[in-house]
Amino acid sequence: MTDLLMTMKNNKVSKDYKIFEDELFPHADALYNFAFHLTYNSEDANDLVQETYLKAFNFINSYQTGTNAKAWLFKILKNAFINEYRKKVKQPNKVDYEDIAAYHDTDDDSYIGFVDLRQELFQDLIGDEITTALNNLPVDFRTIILLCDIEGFTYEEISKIMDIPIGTVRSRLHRARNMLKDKLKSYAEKLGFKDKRSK
Amino acid sequence: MEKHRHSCSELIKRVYLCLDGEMSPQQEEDFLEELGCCNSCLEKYDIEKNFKQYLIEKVQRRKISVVLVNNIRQQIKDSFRMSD
Repeated sequence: MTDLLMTMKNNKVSKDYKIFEDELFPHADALYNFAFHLTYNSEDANDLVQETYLKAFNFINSYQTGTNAKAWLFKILKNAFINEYRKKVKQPNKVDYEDIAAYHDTDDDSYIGFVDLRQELFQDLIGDEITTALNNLPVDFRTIILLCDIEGFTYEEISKIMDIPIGTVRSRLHRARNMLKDKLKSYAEKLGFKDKRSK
Repeated sequence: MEKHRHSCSELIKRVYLCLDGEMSPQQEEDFLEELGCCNSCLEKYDIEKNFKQYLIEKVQRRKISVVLVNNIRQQIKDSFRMSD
């Protein structure tokens, strides 16, 4: 290889590595947190984050610097998780929660009912209980709450990360929040908290 | 002329668009103005706002270990070297 070609290649490599340092590694904590809530354990979460960055390396030429790095990494992680997860659950008698979510999805916005969860009922629940309740949601419902409420992605970003239309993002979020409130309500009631209105 | 033909069910559908930051400033202003005219809707909005805030504050956030980040960093550096 000529010196010129060598220099050009080295420049490209250092430029690509700089993308990792400047744009991709800063999201490692958020990726790990997402991975942990998807897998429930730190070993799987570590593997998933590692796999995400290695895939990002493989696809680095398709990444446009300065665009939404966080959403790009989350999409890679979500796909890696779904592929691995599906491999694990696609066994006879196992339930595929993706199918359940798809079955319940609707693009119309005719839903209006919120599960009424008053603050006095959940304010004394601690972080462990809310995390457990969230982790007990089917994966697609858990994912959408993590992306929207915990990571603050917009509906459009969530739509791209999850490969679903924006109408489905809205309806799935609505269902996910209601399911979570139902779970929190039963936790709170088990712990002896009562909805004051029912007295 | 009546400014708002208020419908609780129509307004409630938009609660999370507002809480999730999906409204334009003008839409948000109109929504909050209409909300202020109906105690029942306002109460529902407050419940949902508290719930979202509760999730943001209480769901545990895990941090990645420094060792793992350094390992990944090294793997990426090695991968760049191998692609040389």
